[in-house]
Amino acid sequence: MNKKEVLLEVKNLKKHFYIKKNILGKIQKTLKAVDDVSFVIYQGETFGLVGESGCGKTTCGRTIIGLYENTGGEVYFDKKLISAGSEEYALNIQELKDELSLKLKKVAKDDFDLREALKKEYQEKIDIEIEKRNIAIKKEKSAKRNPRDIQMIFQDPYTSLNPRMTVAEIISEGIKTHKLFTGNDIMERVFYLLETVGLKREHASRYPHEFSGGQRQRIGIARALAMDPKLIICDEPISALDVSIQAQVVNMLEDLQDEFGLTYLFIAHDLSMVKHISDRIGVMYLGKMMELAGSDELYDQPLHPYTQSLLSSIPLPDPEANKISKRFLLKGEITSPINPKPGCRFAGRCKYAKDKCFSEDPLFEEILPNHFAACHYVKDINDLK
Amino acid sequence: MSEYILEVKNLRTSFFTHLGEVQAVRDISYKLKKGGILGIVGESGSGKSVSSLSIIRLVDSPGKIVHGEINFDGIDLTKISTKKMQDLRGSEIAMIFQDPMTSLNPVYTIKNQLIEVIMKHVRITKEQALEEAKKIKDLERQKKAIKRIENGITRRINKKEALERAIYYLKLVGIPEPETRIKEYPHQFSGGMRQRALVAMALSCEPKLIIADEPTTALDVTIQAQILDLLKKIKKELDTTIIFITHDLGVIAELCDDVIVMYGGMIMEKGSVNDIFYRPQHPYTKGLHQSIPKDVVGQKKRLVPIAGSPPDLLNPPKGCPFNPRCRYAMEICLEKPAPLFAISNTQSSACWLQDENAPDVEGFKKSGGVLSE
Repeated sequence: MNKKEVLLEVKNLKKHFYIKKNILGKIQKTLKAVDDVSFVIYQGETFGLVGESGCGKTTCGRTIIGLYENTGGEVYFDKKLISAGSEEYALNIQELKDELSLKLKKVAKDDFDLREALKKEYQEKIDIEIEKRNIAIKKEKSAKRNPRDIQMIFQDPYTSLNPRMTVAEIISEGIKTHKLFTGNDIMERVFYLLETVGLKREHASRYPHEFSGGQRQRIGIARALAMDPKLIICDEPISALDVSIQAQVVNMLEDLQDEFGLTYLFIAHDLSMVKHISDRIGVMYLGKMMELAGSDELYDQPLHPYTQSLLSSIPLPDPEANKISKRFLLKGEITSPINPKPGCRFAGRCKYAKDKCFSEDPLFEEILPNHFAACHYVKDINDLK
Repeated sequence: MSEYILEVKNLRTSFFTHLGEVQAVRDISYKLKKGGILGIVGESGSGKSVSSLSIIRLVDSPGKIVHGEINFDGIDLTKISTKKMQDLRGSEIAMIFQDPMTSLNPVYTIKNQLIEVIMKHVRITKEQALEEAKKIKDLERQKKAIKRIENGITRRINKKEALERAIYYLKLVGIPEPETRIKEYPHQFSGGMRQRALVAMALSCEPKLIIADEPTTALDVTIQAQILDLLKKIKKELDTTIIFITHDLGVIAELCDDVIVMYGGMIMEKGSVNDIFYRPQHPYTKGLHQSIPKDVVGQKKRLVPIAGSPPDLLNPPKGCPFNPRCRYAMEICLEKPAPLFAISNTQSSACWLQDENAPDVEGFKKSGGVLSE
């Protein structure tokens, strides 16, 4: 495979939501929706992101485009920094301070030496964090995004279009904001976009409720294309559609990719469709990336135990193949991402889990060429050297 | 008794709205053998849900069964009283709904809801009743009791027995520690567990027929696999007949013995699961197969979508409902809906291409124009 140019690089992306704060504003419960996820998307490819509900795949997409502010980590687009987060360091500092005061309480008040030693030890740690935070804040300020470069297609074609706007207004809103065209050219552009996505000129003056689900999704795609984007984030664009319509939309997305040289980040839970459309696929579980590989390789030789059982859970549209295929049924269900325990997130449901899995986070490593996985025992499980 | 547990004959169900009559189910007939799983597959608005809600008579106003017979175990369900239907619902025919979040009552515990169903419908068996009667000391009363029992009247199950039964079924569907979990409220259960509890509720009265309306659509794949596994186990162990409604061809292939393909309120094709997957004869069924990716490693095939969009049931196309999207549509297709032509003992297809006067089209087997009964 010839090396392509990197279009989007996500580095240690974190997005945490704070659910419960006490009266002093101190955070007691943290939902780690995306926790330290890194990947790159090459120019012109389709990158699939799959996982069960609640695994953070949608949050990941929304953080990249800037609908959420990132808690930590950086996102580069076309080698330029477009967003960075510093919040995690502020929290780390807070945590260290809390730890210190807890320890100080346990130490006797007249034991000045020990108290000083403890304070010094923590002050050093805090200083490091402050330094990191200052760097991150600088980066955060220097980050600049061009909102036209990345566009998004949403899951639900019924709620993502404003029912009070006509199709022409919906599609031309961005064109007007960015002053891409003026006067009569705006309508010409709208007509061109409508025809590109397989609708007709006369649809421009209608309202969203007059269209079927598939047609609405086409309007959503036209709205995204209006900005001449380089990257489109497709957040479950077909899961609300009927089977026969899904194929229409998927084919159209493929055609548009060829025509305009688009790059897609395709987020979905329908694994067979993701395999069909993607070049490379990342599998997420509870905010962490579990495995990342080329789509054929991932389906052919899944390394991570989670991917193995996820893939074997898909019922195939082939009765005979279903009878012979092996199932690794998973026990239990996805656990809560609120205040996760240390160790591998999947350990509780994993049949290979050992003590180490419950105490230590596995690293996300390249196991085979261009095939990454995060598992302590991935080599033993798959009999790799 | 016949070998069929359910016979649906010329069923029509419509919704009378302000805009006009929405014909959700238009003249469907099928028979269901005992002890199998029938899959009904179709897109949204194809009438798959309404046809099965008609069986259990849960079609709400403005919907109405306009025409047809539904013979269940020798009873025509369209003709019996509401009261009688209520007795059958739950005890003879049970339903599992799509959304486990909304089909349990959030203010009652699981125990409350399970026991309510069981106590309403279940009576103790004859053997149990006779044993109880023998313990009656007064001979006169004992005689009377035995006579009553022999006439087939036994008492309802009591609360303690109902609880035992509820726990037994919760254990069967794989809920851990059912004795303690049963006291919890639905919100304390996860999505998969709620669906299991609903399956337990449906099973608890040992119904002859279970209708499952997209029971796995709201669940994740790994949980879906668990529920499908459970349904297969139930079919094997309890010998219940199941109607499984879904839009997912993969689930059908995994679970079902027989399949009905619906479109625009009508049956397009029916047959065994192998017929539908390896020898589809209706252009719509073929189109569905080509719409889903079946890529082999290393080569990507482009999907072949079905052009156009599903019909408007307020104003359905004349003739075959699929004709505006069908590439083989002929003159007769625009005039008259096709009857079900028998292709083999198990398979039949509602397509005029099967008629003896129709031209030969590649890839379609000719039935010779024999109509299916």
